[in-house]
Amino acid sequence: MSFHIRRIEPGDAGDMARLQSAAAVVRHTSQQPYQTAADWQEKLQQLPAHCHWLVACSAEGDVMASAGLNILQQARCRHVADVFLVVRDEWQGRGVGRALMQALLELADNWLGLVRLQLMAQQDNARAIALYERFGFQHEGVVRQDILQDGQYVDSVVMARLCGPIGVPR
Amino acid sequence: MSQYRIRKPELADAAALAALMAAPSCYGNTLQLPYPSLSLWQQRLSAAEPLKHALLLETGAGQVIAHGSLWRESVPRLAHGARLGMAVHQDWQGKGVGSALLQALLELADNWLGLHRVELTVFTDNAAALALYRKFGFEQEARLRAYALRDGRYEDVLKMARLRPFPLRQA
Repeated sequence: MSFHIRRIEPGDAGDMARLQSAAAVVRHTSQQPYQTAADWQEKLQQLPAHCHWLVACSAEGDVMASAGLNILQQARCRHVADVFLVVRDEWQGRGVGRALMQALLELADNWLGLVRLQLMAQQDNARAIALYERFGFQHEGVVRQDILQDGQYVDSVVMARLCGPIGVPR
Repeated sequence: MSQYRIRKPELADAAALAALMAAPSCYGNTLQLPYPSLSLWQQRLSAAEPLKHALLLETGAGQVIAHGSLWRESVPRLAHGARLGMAVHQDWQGKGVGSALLQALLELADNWLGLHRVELTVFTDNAAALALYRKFGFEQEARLRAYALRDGRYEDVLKMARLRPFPLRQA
């Protein structure tokens, strides 16, 4: 299986709408069901400079997975970014998520100089949590009734990965 | 508490709020910067912020000594929650000022906004704030390592939250 990683483009809007509104992705993110390409076109055309989003594409050019980081905008938290990763159902377990996360972390560590990467994962999303653990994300706590998931408020785990000397800004 | 008044801030309060937040204990223990400008606060107070609900507390003499706000989440699946932030003038700490303001904010959250979850972050060494939040039912959920820069160091913060203490009643 071959795929390549590149930065997201407005032309990915249709693929992103499909990817992000797939039932399994909706369940484990804060996304809504029923998204349109037009919603994503608008979002991707206006993607701010503090958002660094990547996609992994198949040989045919279809988006199989997306990962990104959004650098926090408060002046005292510019060393921190929120991270996300979504992989299409049929591409789970084939190394795409791992490759994409690797690329994103290299961007964060070596080109953006970020110190803290953080994310929230729903507690029942064991596969994602295992992947984040493999990349050095540590559990920091559990946020109660954090997010509405199919009619219920469910808990999320907070995970973060630190890079660089902590306690002293670089 | 009759010597204090709680009300919504207005554009005319910009100078008072800039002065309040210019104190090291106020900007240091929140996520604000030193040297807050008048125009920054004018901007904040005049911007249309439908998700923000701010309150201030002033003395009988009209001195603004505390400020706090609730920010509702904009993402629909998180819309049952809000983030809370507040600051009390250091000369007025330990006098019930923070309690009065926090109580007003939580009454707003519980009874008029119908929120399910109120969360906040607090620096781990801010003992006065931690005691206040615990008194009002906030519980620690996570310790976020190196979350914010404070006076030259990346410091941890605690994420705390309070879930609504009673269900919404039907009349």
